[in-house]
Amino acid sequence: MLLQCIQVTRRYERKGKVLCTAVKDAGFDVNKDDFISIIGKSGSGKSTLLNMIAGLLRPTVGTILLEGNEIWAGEEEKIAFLRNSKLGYIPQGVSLLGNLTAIDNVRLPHFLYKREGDGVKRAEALLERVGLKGYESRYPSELSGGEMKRVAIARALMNNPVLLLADEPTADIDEETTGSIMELFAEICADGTAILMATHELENIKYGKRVLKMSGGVLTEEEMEIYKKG
Amino acid sequence: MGAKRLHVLRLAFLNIVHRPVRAIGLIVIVAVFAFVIFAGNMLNASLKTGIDHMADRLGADLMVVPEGADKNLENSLLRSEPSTFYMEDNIVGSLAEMEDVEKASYQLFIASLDAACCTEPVQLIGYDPETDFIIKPWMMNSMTGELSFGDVVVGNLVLAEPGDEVIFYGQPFHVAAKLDKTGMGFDSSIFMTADTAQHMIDLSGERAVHPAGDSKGLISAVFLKVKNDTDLHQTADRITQSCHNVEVVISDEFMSNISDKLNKTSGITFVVTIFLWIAAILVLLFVFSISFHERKREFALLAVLGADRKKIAGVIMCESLMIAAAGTICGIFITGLILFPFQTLISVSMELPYLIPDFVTIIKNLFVSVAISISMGPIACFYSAMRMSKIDTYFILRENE
Repeated sequence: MLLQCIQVTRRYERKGKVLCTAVKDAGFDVNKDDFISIIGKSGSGKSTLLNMIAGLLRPTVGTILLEGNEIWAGEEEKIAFLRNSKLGYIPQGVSLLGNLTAIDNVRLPHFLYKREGDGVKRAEALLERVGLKGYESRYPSELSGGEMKRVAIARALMNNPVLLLADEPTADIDEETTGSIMELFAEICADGTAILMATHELENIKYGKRVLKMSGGVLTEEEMEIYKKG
Repeated sequence: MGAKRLHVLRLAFLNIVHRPVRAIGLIVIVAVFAFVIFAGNMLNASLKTGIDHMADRLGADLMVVPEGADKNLENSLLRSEPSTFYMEDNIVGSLAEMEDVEKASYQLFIASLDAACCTEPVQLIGYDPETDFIIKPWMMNSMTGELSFGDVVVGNLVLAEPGDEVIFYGQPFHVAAKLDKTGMGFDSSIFMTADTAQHMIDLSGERAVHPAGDSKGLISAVFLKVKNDTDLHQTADRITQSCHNVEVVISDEFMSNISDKLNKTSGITFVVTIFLWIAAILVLLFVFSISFHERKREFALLAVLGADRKKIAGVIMCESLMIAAAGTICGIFITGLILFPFQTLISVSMELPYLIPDFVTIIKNLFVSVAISISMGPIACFYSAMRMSKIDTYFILRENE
């Protein structure tokens, strides 16, 4: 078992008053070879769930275990290191640093902690893998939306994560590019990195292996076959 | 392909170069402050050095001049404004015979006419080599032996070198030596023995009209060294009572007046520096704060990639330090470009003894100025760094969705 979410709840509060419960008692497991799509409308709690798993948003109640260890157990530094070394996170929207070239954006996670080497070869290989060979020196302003997303995917893979978290990776991207990104995710999963993807595009589900539906903060596992048949 | 390591310093550097307008604006603010603080420190140190040198060089306890000429004497000593005040030379003997007086020596001040060495008339100072205890002691640093008749010694700012010939009142004089810089009026003065000075006037076409011409037995000032434990005020009173139409300047009071002026200048510099320091910090704090707000998403993305808050705060701190360091270097460099080549102009306009201090003092001032100036960066961005420790990555990421 790679990831276990046990009765995870997240409430948003202001001055002790509950505004809403974004995620209610969510419980599910992720295996090492999983490619899971979390579907649901905007505001259903998909991003909240992903951010809790990424160690960016503390659950109000519940436990999240990664490789058997509680993500939220340690200090902020420990959680940040775990996020850097075990997880790859692709945030929604533009997520590249504008003052770094594509290759430097990809290499950046390598340098946030002490590691050997300059990461150039791996970053080049990752850019080639996401179909951006020759784009190394380009700045984000010189890339299209789809290209930026591919760079973000390459960056998320830089430190060999065990789990890739993708929050609406194909939002605002044309159909053709969406297809190629989803195929890339399927390849990454086949290479041994589990993927947990939040999406509201049902077309993307067919690339995955499992599907979870989030509705009003309640998470349920759906039959994959229904979506594969369309 | 650049393969430089993406450490915190490089990230901070890239952030700076990708926002050139903002960076230049901040660097200019720090540079102006660094200029003010270093220039202010150097100005104070130079004035202090000038006054210390003046105290060393003055040598006399009392200076006797014609009544009403005390201001002229000050102008002559501080700014080398050519002075032409005279009194009878028989006063020298009377003063030398006074009980409290240990040494007495006179000087004759003559304003030069136009001379090739100087853009403006200079002060020619004739001293009595037999009794002098004012000029000779420090003149010995620049020359050996006595100054011969017809020879002159020039101040540091006079455009003549040893071996040159300078012409005053139509007569040539051999430059025997050039004095070290004093920061006083002496730097623009020319020294000769009183005999040479008198001879120069007597042979010139001006002798009939010059007050000191035709060997009328006039002098300008008598410098007195009194015996130990003598009350200077009592001696000064005795001199004014026994010698008519003279004024006595007490060196300590003269120096104390100059020190007061220095203290006033230092005080103003200090207040201006503090005011600018606070103003610069407030401006930087404001700019960093706005910048932090604009770049919240960028910091949130670093957090997403696994940077903890300390690392992100480190990037912000490094950035501010680099800006402060760049501004400080520019400011100090500009100060150097202005302060050292234009020291004569500054000295003249300050109307106080002004002498660039020794190397160690300069380095000390440099370090203090650099430290204070560079400290502005981290101080100003401390608030932003503190805010960084409170950002909620998830909510910042969602703001732009």
